Amino acid sequence: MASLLSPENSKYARRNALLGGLLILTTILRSEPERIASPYFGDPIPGLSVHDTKRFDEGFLLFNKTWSAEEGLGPSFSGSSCVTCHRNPLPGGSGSRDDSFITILPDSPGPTGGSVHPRFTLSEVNLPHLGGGTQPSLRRSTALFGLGLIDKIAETEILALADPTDSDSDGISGRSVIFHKSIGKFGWKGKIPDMRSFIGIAAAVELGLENPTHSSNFSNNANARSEISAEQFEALAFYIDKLGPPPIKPPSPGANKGKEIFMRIGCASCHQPNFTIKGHQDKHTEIFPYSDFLLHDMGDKLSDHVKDPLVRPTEFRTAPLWGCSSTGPPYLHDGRAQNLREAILYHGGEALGSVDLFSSSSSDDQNFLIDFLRSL
Amino acid sequence: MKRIILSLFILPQLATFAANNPPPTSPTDLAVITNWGDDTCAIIDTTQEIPLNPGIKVGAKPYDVKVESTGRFAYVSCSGESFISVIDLQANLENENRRIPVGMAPRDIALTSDNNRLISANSGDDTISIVDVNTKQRVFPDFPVGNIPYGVALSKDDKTAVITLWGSNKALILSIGPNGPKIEAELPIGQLPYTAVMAGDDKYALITCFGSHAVYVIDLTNKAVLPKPVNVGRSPWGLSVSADGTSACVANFYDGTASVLNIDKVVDPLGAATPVKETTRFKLEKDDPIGGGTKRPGRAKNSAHSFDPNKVLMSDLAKNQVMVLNIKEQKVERVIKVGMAPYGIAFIPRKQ
Repeated sequence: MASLLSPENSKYARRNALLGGLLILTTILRSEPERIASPYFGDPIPGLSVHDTKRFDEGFLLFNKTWSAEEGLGPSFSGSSCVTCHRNPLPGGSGSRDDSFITILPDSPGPTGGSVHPRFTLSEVNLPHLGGGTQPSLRRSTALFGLGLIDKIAETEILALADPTDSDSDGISGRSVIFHKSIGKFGWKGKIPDMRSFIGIAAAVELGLENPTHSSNFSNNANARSEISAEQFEALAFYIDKLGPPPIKPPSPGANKGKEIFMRIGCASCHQPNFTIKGHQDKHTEIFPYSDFLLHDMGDKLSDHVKDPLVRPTEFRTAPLWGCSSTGPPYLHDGRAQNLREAILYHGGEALGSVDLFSSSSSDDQNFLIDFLRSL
Repeated sequence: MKRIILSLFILPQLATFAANNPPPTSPTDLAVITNWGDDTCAIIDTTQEIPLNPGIKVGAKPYDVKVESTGRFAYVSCSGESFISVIDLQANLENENRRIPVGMAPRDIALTSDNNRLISANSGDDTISIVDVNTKQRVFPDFPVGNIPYGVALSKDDKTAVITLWGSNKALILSIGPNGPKIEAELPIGQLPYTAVMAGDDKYALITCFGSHAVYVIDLTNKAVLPKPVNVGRSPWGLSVSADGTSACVANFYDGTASVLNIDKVVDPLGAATPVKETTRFKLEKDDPIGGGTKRPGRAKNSAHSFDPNKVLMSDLAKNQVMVLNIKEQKVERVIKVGMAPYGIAFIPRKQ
């Protein structure tokens, strides 16, 4: 038998060692998705140039700007600035008080699902009459942190999670609405396809500002002249696009146990933990919104009674959970849940199985799960 | 014999306890911190890097804290509730029986100089509450002030208060008399005003305007905003004034810097010269041993002056820590890890 150390074996050994080394090196150097992290709420995504940081700051000022009637606010509106509604815990966040919620009427469904009944008017407009039988629904303004990152999730990634006919019989369906040839990713009813539309609709409907992408519902302006200039709109869109995701919190032993429970009882069937996107400078980036951005039936208790041919009253887009303990309470589309435990227990429909498992868990396990949600 | 055995048992325990809980080097080195992110408060000794008591449970989302001058009780506004938690600093526990009902989502609070009354800015219902901390009753009905009140500053004679209205970019000057508060002036200021403090022997109020990257100065004698705000770092949030009223420190949230302001007690009647000037701005950085010595950006939220005018504490929301600053040397001397999202800071005064 040839010795292992014979010249022939040495040659093969050297070649194999070289190949092995190259394989290891390639593995190390291969671009793994990096997890994007911002220092705190309201910070931009990391890595912006000096020029882009300045643009971000300009957008920040516009986001906080109080608009006047002379500048185009109204004639009907629900707030006078973006930050009026999007502020919790910092500008760019969610709404926490009733006056930062939007009232939705059940008829005449619009892009946000139902038509918005504005809180204020500057002049006489034909507002829908709230008759005795009208059941308006409230909509809590959502946090905008990481919205630009969500915008970059490929439609194929979301559709891969959909199962509209529940073909695997696990009780979870999940579907997307096709709206203007794109799937809806934004809004409580998942009918808004992209971030720019989200901004344009909000500016038009909540502030009454005609803008390059959308007109307000009650515009008196026959020519729909843009009241927010293209430059201002782009600055605002840039700011929101670059708003970083919620900060990463240090893990705790309770939260780690809670994550196992979260996965085990099926919460992740809708609250999909992560996606890989092409982020800043085209780098593969991993984000952790904890949502599949699909519509799910949430049961009759959460019905908003809105008659919409595209989305049923009991269907809602899975809310992202990242940052939830800082951007709430309250929780759910109308803010009815005052804490995370209540929010879980309100889940019905497709989530009933998971809720039953949660309810029948020990109080320790329930607390671990809450700890996990608080850690997101 | 039993006594000897008992002593032999107890004495080492006491020695261990004393070693693990050394007495503070000075009463003014202790501070209370509110941890908004985990509903606790921490007691820290600013000369040590480990908190003395890291997690005193209080109500939801503790925001501001004030300690009465005897050093016995700390009052904590719970912005996720409608009450003030009261921490007994002898027991280092919240006394739930002493919780004081106020309006919704209280933010900044101020204590009167006799420690008997507290004013809270209630961001959830647009009011202020003036309450008796001993009876836990409202002294007057909650007073409506306007859109989303956040900051409260109270003059030394307890007769004048300044309230910041975050939702309408204004500040109110209130007089507080035997019949209750009265609005004396409503003044437009910069965007997103957060914190208000009295300065210059109560001749001014300084207000951080988060959205305008500036501190606005109100002349309380003339009830007017001075025309030139003081530009500071990006998104100033917290602000504190030295005990002698001649300097202030501003926590600039989004650029992780501290601004030091000089306060001139003389008010120029024509407003031509600003009595408040930024003299220094420095980066709040300290090598992070956990990060392997790399500098990670912090987010300075709140500021509190020690009785030593050179010593200031700032809370850092991003790194869940409190920074001990040496103002003269413009550096972070020490960091103390506390709970999640530390918001409020108050030194514990010398016990009388």
